[in-house]
Amino acid sequence: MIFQFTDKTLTVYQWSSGELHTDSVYYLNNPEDLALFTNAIAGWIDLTGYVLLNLLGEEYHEEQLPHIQGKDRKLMLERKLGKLFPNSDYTHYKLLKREKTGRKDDVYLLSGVTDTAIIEPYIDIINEYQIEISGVYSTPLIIHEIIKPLKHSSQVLVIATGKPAEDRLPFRQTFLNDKLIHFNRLTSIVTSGELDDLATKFNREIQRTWQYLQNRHELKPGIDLEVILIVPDNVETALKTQIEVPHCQYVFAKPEELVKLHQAEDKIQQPNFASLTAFLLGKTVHKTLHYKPKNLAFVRLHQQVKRYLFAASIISAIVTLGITGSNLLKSHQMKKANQHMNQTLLGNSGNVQKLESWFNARQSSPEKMENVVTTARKLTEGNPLPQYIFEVISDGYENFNDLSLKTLEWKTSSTSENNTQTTNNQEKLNSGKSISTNTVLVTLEGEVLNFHGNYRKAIERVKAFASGLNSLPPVTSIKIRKLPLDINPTTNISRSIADQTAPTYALDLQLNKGAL
Amino acid sequence: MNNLDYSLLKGRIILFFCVLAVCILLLWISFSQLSKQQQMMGNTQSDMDHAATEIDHLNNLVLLFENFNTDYKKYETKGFLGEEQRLSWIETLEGTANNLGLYDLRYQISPKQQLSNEVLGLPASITLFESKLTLESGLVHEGDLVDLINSLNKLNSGLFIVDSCKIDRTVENIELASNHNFQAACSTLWYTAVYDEQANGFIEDEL
Repeated sequence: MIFQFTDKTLTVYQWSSGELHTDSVYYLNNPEDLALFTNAIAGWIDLTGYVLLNLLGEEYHEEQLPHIQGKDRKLMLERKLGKLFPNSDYTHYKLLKREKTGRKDDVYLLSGVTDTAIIEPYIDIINEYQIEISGVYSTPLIIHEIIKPLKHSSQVLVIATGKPAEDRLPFRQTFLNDKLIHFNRLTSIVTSGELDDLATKFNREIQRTWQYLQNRHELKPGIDLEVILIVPDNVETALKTQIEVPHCQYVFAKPEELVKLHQAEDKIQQPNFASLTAFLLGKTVHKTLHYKPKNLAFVRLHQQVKRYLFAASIISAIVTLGITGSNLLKSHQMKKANQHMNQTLLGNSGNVQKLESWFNARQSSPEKMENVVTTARKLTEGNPLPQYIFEVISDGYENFNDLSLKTLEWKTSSTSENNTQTTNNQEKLNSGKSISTNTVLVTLEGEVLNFHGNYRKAIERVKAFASGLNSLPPVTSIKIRKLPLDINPTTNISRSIADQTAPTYALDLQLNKGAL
Repeated sequence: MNNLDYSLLKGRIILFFCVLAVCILLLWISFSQLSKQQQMMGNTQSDMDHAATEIDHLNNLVLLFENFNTDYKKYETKGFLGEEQRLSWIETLEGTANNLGLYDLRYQISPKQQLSNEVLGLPASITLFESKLTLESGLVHEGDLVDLINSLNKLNSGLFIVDSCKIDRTVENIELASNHNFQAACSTLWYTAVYDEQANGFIEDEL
């Protein structure tokens, strides 16, 4: 909702989806209209509203103030506004520029409404119904938005007439310098008499304003002042018949043309200067507020707090529902998983019971079996039974009928670390060594038959026999301990050739117990 | 003027705190429910892990059983876990000697000795006993020794191990056969064991 106040009327617009609709018009001095407004406002509760002022009592002052910042600046400006607009709740300041010379003061535009008594009854009703007013705006402060499509110069004087009342035509003069208001005045001209008189009065007002601006050195030297006139057709016709004020250049703009230039012809129900202003306000409400009256701010604050509380409630509820839903979903999934696991567990317990029963039925525990079998395997590993020893030795003698076997001895043996000592099973057990053995030591002692005194042949036969034994798979090593003749150069040899005693030999060999 | 008038906000404040209370209640219920389910799931998971460990253990035992059952039965039948049967040894030894005509057989059996587990690297649950049997005899031929030893080896009276043997030819001319051609001397060992179930309490408890 946009509530547009003039000194005579209140026009209520509805702003929706970028379109402006005129809802109702109320005459401020008419008590019946106030009652109508009171009835109508009940339907606008919970809507956000904006107030647009176009009042005669709105004044603008340009003030040069020391350049200070922060809280001090705010206090200084508030004090200044308090002096200029005593008891007014509608005040506004805006920094125009900073002087480049001297103290380099700041130049401010101070505006305010000196008398708001005419609109107060309506504002009170708005407050009473807790209609949230998001901002109070001034028509002159958005006038640069209205003339924006006209591609005007940086310094421009805008003259816009209002609704004629009785015999007077109100009109506002606003001088803009780089979009900023440097001068503004709402006045009226008596409309009785000839049109030429009206044009003359207009030109006189324009002349006075130009002179005022010239005296204040606001105008750029040597450049004509561009005057945009948004006036009724008859006034435009009359002005065109007269010579323009010197140093001024008139540009006539019709409200309908401005509406078209703003591409708002389909968006404004009743196009005129006032409704165009309201339309542009609706489009630019996000901009900085102009006035912040405390009574409206109070309502707005409460409405905002209400909104925040409601939003917080909704967000809390949504977040809670989300978390709760997630938790319940997780709980449900976990419950199902738990049930599934319980079923599996039941099955596993059944399997465990079956296995336990299975073991119980067999009386002997597997570890007992393992220990007993491992021990027994260690003990019986490579048991050198005579049959096996005889078979290995017999294989060795297969092609050696000229060698006899006189003594055969074997024993289980374990080779010590330095490979010099061997012990049999009994000795190991008694000495506490590991019973795991690797080899069987076999000793062969025999004679060479059919000797005939040929030692060379006898030695060769024994060596061949040893070589044959060594090639047998179970034999890991063989050592000839005694040859038929000891041919070691360090030994003493004596023999009678009459002696026919058969020469002897002795072999030591190792059998791999793993092969037994 | 800009101070808040709480009476104007009463409705929304009440609504907010009601929503907040309901939210807290819902959150408490949902989190407690979730916590309860998590605890139950944790317990079940713990039971599952325990059961899985137990099953793995039992499967290992089954594997052990399958690996060792056959040999265990063999050694059990062999009398490894039983008492020594010295009478059987003597009967077998003398019976075989008589059959082979080895009338000069002499034998000696030492007292049973318990062997130390620690130094032998045996499991604590096994108590190993050893008896030494030495024998000497004249032989007609070397096959007599094979028969004699094999007859003892076939006995189910413990584990029979030949520790050492010596066989000497006693006649010069092997072509002149007699009933005492060889002289043999062997040292053999008989092992028996006792299994202590308590020493492997873990498995028994498990079962």
